[in-house]
Amino acid sequence: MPHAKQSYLRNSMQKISAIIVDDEPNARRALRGLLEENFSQVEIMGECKSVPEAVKAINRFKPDVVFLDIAMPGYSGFELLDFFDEQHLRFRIIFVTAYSEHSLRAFETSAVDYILKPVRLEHLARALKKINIEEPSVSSESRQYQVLKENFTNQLDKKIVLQTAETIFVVRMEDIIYLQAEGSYTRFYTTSHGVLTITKKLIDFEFLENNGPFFRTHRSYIVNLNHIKKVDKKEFILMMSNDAEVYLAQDKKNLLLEKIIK
Amino acid sequence: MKRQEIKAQLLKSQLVALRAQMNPHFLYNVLNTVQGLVYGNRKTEAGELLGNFSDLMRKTLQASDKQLLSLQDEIDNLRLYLELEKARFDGGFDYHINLVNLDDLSFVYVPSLMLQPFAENAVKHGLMHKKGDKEVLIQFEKEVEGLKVIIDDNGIGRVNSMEINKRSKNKPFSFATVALNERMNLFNSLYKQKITCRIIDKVDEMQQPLGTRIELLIPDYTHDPDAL
Repeated sequence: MPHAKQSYLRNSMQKISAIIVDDEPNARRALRGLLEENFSQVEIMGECKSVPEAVKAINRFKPDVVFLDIAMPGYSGFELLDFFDEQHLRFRIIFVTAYSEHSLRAFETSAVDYILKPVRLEHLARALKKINIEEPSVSSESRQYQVLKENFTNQLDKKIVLQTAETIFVVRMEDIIYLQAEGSYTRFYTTSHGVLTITKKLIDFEFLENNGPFFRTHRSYIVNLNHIKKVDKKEFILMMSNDAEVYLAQDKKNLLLEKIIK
Repeated sequence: MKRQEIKAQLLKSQLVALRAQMNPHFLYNVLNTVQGLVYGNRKTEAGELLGNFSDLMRKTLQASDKQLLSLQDEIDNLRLYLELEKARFDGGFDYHINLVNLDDLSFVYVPSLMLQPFAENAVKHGLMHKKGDKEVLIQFEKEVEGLKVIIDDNGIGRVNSMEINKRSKNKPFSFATVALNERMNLFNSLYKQKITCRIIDKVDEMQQPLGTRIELLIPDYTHDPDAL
C-alpha cells in the first residue's frame, strides 16, 4: 500500500521515541514491524516483557510513548502507573489490548487511548496522531489512567470522565441522575457536580446502558434507574430523585417497567 | 433427575464448554501470534500456525454433536491446541503426550470437551505467570478400572495463581472450570461408573510449589450398557 504509507508519513518531522511493553514476543514483533514499516518518525528505544522491565527502560530512555499491554504475568499494565508519581509522568501511554468488548467499555468511560490486537495500521496512525509531545498534559492524563484502572478492577464503584473546555470532571456513575440532550450538547444532572454541559451528543453516552443501571427513556433522555422516584404511567412522565420531570416514550414504557420491577 | 433430562442438560453443558473453548481471547491470541510471525518474516511458522488453527476449528465443529470422542480424536485436538499455545509462547513452552499400555486409540472413548479445559488451566493459571521453562505432560494409561489421565504442569501452583487472580481482581475460578465440573457431574449421574478427579498440589522438600497435577480416571464407557 504505497499510497497509504505516504499519508502516514506526512507529519513525520517530529521524532517520537517509544518503548513496547508486552509479554508475548510475537505481539512485540508485530507492533515493531508495523511501526518500522509505516512510521519512520517513531524510534523504538526498547522492548520489555514485564512491568518491572518497563519501569527500568522508562527511567533510562525517557520515551515519549509507551505501548502497553494489559494482561501480563506478574503485574498488569495498569500497575505500571503505581511506579511513578503524577509529577514524573513524562510519557504517554497507548494501551494495546486483546480484551473483550466488556472490558473495552472501561476505556470508553475514561477517554484513555487504546488500540486492539491484532493491531491495525489505521488505529495505530490515529493513536499516534493524537500524541503531541510538545505539550504532555501530564496531570489530567494520569487522573484518567487512575479512573481507567479503577473501572477495570472495581465493577461496583465505576466512574466516568467528563471534559468541558476548561475542566475535567470525574463523576461516579451512581451520582448521575439523568442526561438530557440539548442540541449537539448533553447535560448531566448529578448529585455531586450539579449540572454539567458536555460538548458531545446524547448518543455518545448510550454506552452507559451497558455499563450500569442506565436506560434511554426518550430520544432526549437517559436516566439512572436508581434515581427514579415515581413513574406516571398515564402521562408518560418520570419523576427523578431531584424532583425533575423526565419524558418517557410510549414504546419504552413496558421495557422500563420491566427493568424497574426486576 | 430423569435420564432424558440429564441428556438435555448434557447437550447444554456441551454448548457452554464449546463457547468456553472458542472464547474470543483465545481466538485473538492466535491471530496476534500470526501477525507477529508475519512481521518477523517467519512465513513457514505463520503458515503452520494457520493450518493448526483451521484443523482445530474444523475438528471441534465436526465433533460438536458428540458426547463421547475416540481417544485418537481427543489426542489430535489436544495436540493442536497445545501447538497453538507453543507458538504463542515462542519457545520456553513445551508439552509431551505419553501413552502407556494403549495400542488401539480408536476404540477407547473419552467424554468430549473435557480434557482440553484441564490443559488450558495448566497453561493459563499454572504456566503463564511462570518464569523459565514451562512444561505440560499429559499421560494416558489403560488400567483395569478404566483410562487414567494425568495432566501435569511445572507451573506456579494453585495457591500462587489464586493470589495473582485476587490481586488483579480476577475471578478465582474461571467460567471454564465451573462448566467443566458441571459436565463431569452430568456424566456421573448418567453412568454407573464414575469419573474421578484428584488435584495434587506438587511441592518440594521445602514445601515450595512445583506445579499442579490432575489425575482423572475415566471409566470404560464401551462396556456400559447405557453408553450414548
